[in-house]
Amino acid sequence: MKRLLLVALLPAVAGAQQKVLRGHSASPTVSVRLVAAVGAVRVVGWDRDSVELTGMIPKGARVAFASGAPVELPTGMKMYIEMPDDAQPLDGSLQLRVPKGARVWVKTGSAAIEVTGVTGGLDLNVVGGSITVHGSPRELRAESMDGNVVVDGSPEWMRAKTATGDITLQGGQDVGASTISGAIRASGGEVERVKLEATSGAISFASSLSRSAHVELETHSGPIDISLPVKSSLDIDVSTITGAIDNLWSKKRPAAGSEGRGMTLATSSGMEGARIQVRSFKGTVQLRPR
Amino acid sequence: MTDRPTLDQLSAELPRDIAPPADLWADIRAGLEPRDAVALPRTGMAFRTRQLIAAGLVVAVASSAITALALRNRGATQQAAEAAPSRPAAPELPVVLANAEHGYTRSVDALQRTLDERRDSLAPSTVATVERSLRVADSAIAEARAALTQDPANRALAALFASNYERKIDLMRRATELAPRT
Repeated sequence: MKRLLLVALLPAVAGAQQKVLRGHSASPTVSVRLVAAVGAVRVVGWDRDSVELTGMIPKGARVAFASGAPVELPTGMKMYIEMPDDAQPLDGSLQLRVPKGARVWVKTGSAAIEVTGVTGGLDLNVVGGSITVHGSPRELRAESMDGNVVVDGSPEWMRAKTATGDITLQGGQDVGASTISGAIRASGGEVERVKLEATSGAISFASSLSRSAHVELETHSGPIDISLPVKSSLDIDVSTITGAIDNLWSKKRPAAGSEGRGMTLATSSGMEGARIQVRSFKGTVQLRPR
Repeated sequence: MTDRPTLDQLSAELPRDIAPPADLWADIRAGLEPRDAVALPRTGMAFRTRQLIAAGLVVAVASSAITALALRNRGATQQAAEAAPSRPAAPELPVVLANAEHGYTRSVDALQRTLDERRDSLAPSTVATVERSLRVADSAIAEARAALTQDPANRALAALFASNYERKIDLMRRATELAPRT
């Protein structure tokens, strides 16, 4: 982005809020960065080779829009909205339309971010609020503190992290989700490689497994619930330090763990199939059929 | 995500108790000690970037040290173990984990200093969320650590111990990157 075109907007004023309307042609894989502490941000992937930012923001907010080279079809854009000191955290809402294959980076405070139709890359960051992603971007990074993260597609690569917020996902090729005390729920899609980990949060796994899937589930004190097809070709390795293992999926009974504490459960299909590895310090692990 | 199964497989082949060769620790120390020389910038984006690099290096070195130990000890004879110098009796943690924890705690300390500096710029609710989560993480670390002193050869426990630290460090890193007033 050697050549930047910086445009300060002078939006129309409407009462206590002002309108934002800005558009620019863009490369189909443009990288777009938006920093805005507004109440809601909606990102929409569309078929046009252009980027459009619309919405309402508090009166007095400053808007900066910068696009890189080449001028006709820039490969990078930055948008920054600086709120006035007296603005409320949830004031304002924005809609960002980008080419479907764009890479979008959004950082907000307590906004509800909702993304639809982007097949490129997403890097979304909130503190509170929430992150909801519809569809299957190629790459997705979603981070929040206490906001929930919901992904209803199957990204090729995904990393979701929260402190206390819940994470809900379906599947994907390479999936990682981590939380301290939020809950993690995976169901409805198919996974290839997945690692779900929590410190005290609950983990629920009911996604389908690809033939060579590798699943790692790990918790310190939260419960882990695993729902599996009755007839599955699986290698399963479960170990707890003090927690219980409740196996309702097969007839194999758990054994006493190391030093006589905790439990272990290991089953092998005898074939090179999917593999599930579960570690828990004191959370209960339950396997059940579905 | 793809490293751990390999490490687990390698670790599974190790004897339950074996003292590493003396020269290995010199290598590990040499890898860890330069971290002391990492200068922490005072403010701004450069601070966070350098700190992230330092934290990443510490974690990477600790991880590499464990991997190196597993690889170098694989197939080692009991004679080699006996040739190792005498070690302090009954250390609280296995030495590899103690070294790894040392790296983790240095990262934690550095990140904590940044968080302390930035505390006033963050929303009180955000600070409360972070602190509450850190307490949960600390409790889990302490619990796993205490269990490790009773069962130091338990690989699953060691992995849980390390994961608890990594989640804590990641949370702290993300907290240091939050925008002001959020």
